[in-house]
Amino acid sequence: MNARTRARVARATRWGRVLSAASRRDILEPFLADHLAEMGEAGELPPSFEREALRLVFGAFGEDRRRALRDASWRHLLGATVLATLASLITESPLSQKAAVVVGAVLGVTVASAGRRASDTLGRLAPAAFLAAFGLLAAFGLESEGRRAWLSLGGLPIQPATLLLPLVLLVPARPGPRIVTTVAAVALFLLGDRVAGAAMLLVWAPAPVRGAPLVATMLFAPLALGDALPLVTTSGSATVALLLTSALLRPGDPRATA
Amino acid sequence: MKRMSNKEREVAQWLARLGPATGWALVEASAGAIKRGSVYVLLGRMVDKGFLESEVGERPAGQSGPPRRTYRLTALARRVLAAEAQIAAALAEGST
Repeated sequence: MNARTRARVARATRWGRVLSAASRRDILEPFLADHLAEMGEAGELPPSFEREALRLVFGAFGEDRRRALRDASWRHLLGATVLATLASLITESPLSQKAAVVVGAVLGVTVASAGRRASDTLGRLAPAAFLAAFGLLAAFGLESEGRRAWLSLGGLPIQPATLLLPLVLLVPARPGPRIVTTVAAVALFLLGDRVAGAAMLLVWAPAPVRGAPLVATMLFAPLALGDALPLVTTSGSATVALLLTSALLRPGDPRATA
Repeated sequence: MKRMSNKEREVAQWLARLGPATGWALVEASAGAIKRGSVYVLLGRMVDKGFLESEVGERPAGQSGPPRRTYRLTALARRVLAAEAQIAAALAEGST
């Protein structure tokens, strides 16, 4: 095993410990141990590692996925996002956008599990945060293929609108915050951050919901649909996510709060 | 009696053939019939049901990363497999 592979294994091991502590240790630990041991012998992870990782985490929710997703705890989703991020980091594949999406999911799950008071405060700040993201991208965004969706933070590319996306769930259902959010969404869309721009329009959903199911569907739908995210796919993802969420949340569910 | 799903039975049958094995070894031995993306979930569920026991092995010298976990059938799983085989045999006999 060469030094580079050793360093990658060591980094993956550290992430694995965090991951194991955060989620189903009994399932995730042997998965990582086996993959890392095989990686040590072969020098690289199998190309399907990321897909397996995501299937593993969703499979860990249980056999009945519809019910399982509805009942998923934020710890499982945290595990999923960390695992997906880990997968993209250690395989060094061009998945930085996906990584940003899943990191956004971590934020979303954290927000979803926050107390009512913290949620209200974040919700009031969300429209301003979206506008700030637009401003930062317009001023300092990295231009790539005519799009400005990324900022460089000490050399590390981040996608601010995607990271902030889960805050959409907390925007108060009043005209003012919704209009500000929509303006920011359109501006971000025009700048090239189509995923975030389209998904932020969920602020107009008839019954604003908060909680893990929406975060999961909204953020994992584009993730599942692949790298290329043209307009139709992005809009379709947001629509599918909205429909899925409506189907998953029962009337009267405490997480479906107006 | 606790029930085994078809996939759980497949895992149990492979473990009966192989003896204690890691998840990866089951995938390799089954030539992909047991998927890498689902084997650990199956194994975890079977441990929860009492069909399997697991233990963490020693880390081989020079290997990085966490030590690997091996799984073995419990007496309960062996009894379930044997009972299912008996039932299948009785049904086959009755149908001839």
